[in-house]
Amino acid sequence: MSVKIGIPRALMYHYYYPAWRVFFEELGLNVVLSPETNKDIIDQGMRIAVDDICLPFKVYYGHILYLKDIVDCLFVPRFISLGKYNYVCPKFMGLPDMLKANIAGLPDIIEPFIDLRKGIFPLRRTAHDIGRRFGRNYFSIERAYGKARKIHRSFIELQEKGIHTNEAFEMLLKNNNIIRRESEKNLNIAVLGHAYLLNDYFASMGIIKRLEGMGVCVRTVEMYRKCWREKAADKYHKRVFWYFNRQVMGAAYHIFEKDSIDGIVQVTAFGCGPDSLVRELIDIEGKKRKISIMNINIDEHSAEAGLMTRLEAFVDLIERRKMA
Amino acid sequence: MKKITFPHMADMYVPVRAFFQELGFETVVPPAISKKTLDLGVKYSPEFACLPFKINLGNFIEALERGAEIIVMGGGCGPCRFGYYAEVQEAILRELGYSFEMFVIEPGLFSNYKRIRNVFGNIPFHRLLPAARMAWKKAAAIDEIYRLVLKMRACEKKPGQVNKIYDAFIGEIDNTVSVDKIRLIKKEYEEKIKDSKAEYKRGIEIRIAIVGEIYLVLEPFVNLEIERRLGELGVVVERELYITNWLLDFLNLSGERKLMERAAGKYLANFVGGHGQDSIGHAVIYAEKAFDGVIQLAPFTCMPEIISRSILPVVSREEGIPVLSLFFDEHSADTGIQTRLEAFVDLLERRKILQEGSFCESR
Repeated sequence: MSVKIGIPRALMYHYYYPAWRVFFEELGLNVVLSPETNKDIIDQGMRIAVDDICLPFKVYYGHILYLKDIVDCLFVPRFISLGKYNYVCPKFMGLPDMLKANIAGLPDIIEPFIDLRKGIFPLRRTAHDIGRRFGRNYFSIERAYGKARKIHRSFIELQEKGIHTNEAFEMLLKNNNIIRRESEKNLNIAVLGHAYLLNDYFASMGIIKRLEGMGVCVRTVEMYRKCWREKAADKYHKRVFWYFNRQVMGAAYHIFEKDSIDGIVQVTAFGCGPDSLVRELIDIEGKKRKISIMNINIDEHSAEAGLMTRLEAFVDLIERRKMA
Repeated sequence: MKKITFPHMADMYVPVRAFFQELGFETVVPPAISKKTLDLGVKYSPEFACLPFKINLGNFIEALERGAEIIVMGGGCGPCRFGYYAEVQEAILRELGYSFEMFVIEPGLFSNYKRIRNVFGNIPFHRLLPAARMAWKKAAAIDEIYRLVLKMRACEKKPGQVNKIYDAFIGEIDNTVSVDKIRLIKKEYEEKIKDSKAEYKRGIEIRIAIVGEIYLVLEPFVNLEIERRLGELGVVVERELYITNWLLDFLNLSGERKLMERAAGKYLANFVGGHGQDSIGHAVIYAEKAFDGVIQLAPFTCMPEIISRSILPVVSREEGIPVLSLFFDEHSADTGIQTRLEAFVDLLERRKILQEGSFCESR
């Protein structure tokens, strides 16, 4: 029987799932994915996590609790940095340690260091370390790594074509073709925020789906090409040293300069450190350029009705503004 | 000549002002942190920004109102939010309509000499070294005396005596302009503080170490004078974070970091920004030194400290040292803190008595 490796459906899953899945399946492992976030998972996570940590991490805890008894090992990479001169949020850096401290009876944790400050090359070595742990030889690991890279590239390409993360997963891994509905109202709204919050239907209370349900065309950070984002992010402010916030900032400035968008919704998890500062800069700049921006904070106590009202009001507002 | 200002952090204004004065610049020290500073900061800051951000912003507004034209601020490129403070604060202050220059001290600073020149005008280079020496001596003297203060508050003769001596000391050292005199003043006050020694207020020596985020540990206004409160409760306080220690560490001259990393390694394998790993490492070190308890201080939503807060209970269990985590924001109230401290100290006292066993008779 092959080894069962658990991948929690939270945090970095929303950025790297296809690559991880292909890599581990090529190595001959059985990938077990936790189910989509539900009330039970959030409640479980909340009980164990420290109270002032942000919602996505509480969700992650919940997924780990779900997986820990049914898998042989868990994949919890320790992200340090995703590129030159940048870091990810510090909480990712201590994630495996936090899990070990707070949850008893964890299975084996595979916690590779992902530190790309010195380029992409160390990643290959990390892949080989993981592969060797499961007794695979050099060539099969190399093949798995190559395939993972390839699928990750096509994942990025799909996103840049304007396909939402979850739909891109379906298309890549299940070969479903998704036909996108045209938006009825001809309204474009950019929803800026971390993919791990926005694409989690339950945690974000389906904010993207709800907006689309109102006939709005939703753009997310990942849909702007990376080279554009990088270029726009460096122009105005000191280099933002958190990778994901840099992407958000880049997307925002790209929108300000080039893209025609009718409004921006910024979605932040309560207590998100980097967002608290970067959001303010985007706010100030948006105000100067007269772009409608709405800020939404989400935590485990957020209520759907409140969100719905605010979204409806916002959409009505920009619709009227556009007609005027 | 343009007037320079900088944010407050405990008594850091003394060496910083000395440094700029020696160079011949005029400084505007922001008014001591007060409720008004906090209110101003909270009003204009992003709501989730951490507490130091808000206080700094309040300092800047008050200083700009008093005619400051250059703001000197720290920066960085680590994962802690502090590295990005200056950028956001500048944007907010400009939005409020102030005109000023923002000068950020961070790595890569000297690569842009033109900017330094534009901001400060001519810098007398021959006085740079003496100025730095002066500032350093003052900072070192303050830290040394304060280390003593933390110990002696627990056993002073009259309540509040040590605090008074310390305040007088700060006033005098702030007014000194010669390096030689710093040594004399330090000696004089060292004697004074040592003279005020009496029995421990609690009858036994209880030692608590303070770890956590640097601003919250150093600045008495934001941590609601926790060290004074502990001193009044008869507790000897020690900590690793001092301005001079931090500066040495920042310049990579400190051997302390290696020790700390080794101690923390078992619980937290890597650097997580700010003082996250330090909190764990020092908690372990203090446990080895047989301290009675550890208190962790941090601002609400501080990312590195959340990590250490999650891990500290395990450290507490495995190393056998009680740990109290206190997170502060602008709504923290002193009664709540006082109650918790009293309870914690009573607990430690009881624990110590039970461990030592024989203490009961002597009381």
